[in-house]
Amino acid sequence: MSALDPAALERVGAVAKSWEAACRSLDNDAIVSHLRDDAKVWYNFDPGTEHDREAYRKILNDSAATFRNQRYEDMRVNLHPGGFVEQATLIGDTDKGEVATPFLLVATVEGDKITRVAEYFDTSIMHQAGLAGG
Amino acid sequence: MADSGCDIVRRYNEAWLSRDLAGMAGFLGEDLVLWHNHIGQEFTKEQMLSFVGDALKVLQKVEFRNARRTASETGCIQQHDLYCEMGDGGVVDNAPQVIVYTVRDGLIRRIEEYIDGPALAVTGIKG
Repeated sequence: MSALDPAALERVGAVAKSWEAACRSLDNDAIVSHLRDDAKVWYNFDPGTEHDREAYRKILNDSAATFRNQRYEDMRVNLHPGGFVEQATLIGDTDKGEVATPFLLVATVEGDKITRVAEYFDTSIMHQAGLAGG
Repeated sequence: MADSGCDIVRRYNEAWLSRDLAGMAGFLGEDLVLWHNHIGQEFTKEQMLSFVGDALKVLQKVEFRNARRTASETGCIQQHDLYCEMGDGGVVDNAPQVIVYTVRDGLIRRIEEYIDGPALAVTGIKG
């Protein structure tokens, strides 16, 4: 396997570690603070839309209201010089009971900030839990 | 110099897209584990090749459009838009998909696929 630049991986790894801590803390402002001002957030189930920082903050806040007590299991982070890939299962409580949804997040990192987030979910789980329309 | 993880993944996917099951198998370790986010189960190499063989019977066309591969610490990550045409006229219309490949000693050992499950409903394919 080709060697990856250790210095670049160390820089990206620091961002990934801080991001993971923010996600686990459920502090949405701390999560959003990792994004550069012009960062975009994209979801696989709505591929024609890119959300800016404030739209993402609203998504996180709205999610916390209906998908409560969120926690992460089996979180794994794969680093590469341009960013990191996070795999985890997000678990939370809904009006229909506990829901667990595996997801993958691709983060592009420049300097010490995230410039793009691409998240992949299976919306069938979200529909069953009443967390998504349609 | 040995192929990188992404070289191996590229060649594996070329075999997939050319319907070369034996060619695909040659890139997979005997200990391969396949996992799909929308199924939540793990499958063996034998099970996976069986699924692919069944899928190829109903898929008239399969393309990984806009494919981007990124080398990682453990192998390769590929993002693409999945396009499929079924024999009955159904279409999987550019469903975003990401696949995490773990590569060790020149063979793919783990494949983890993430896609929005409803996008695949038209295929009727399990696995």
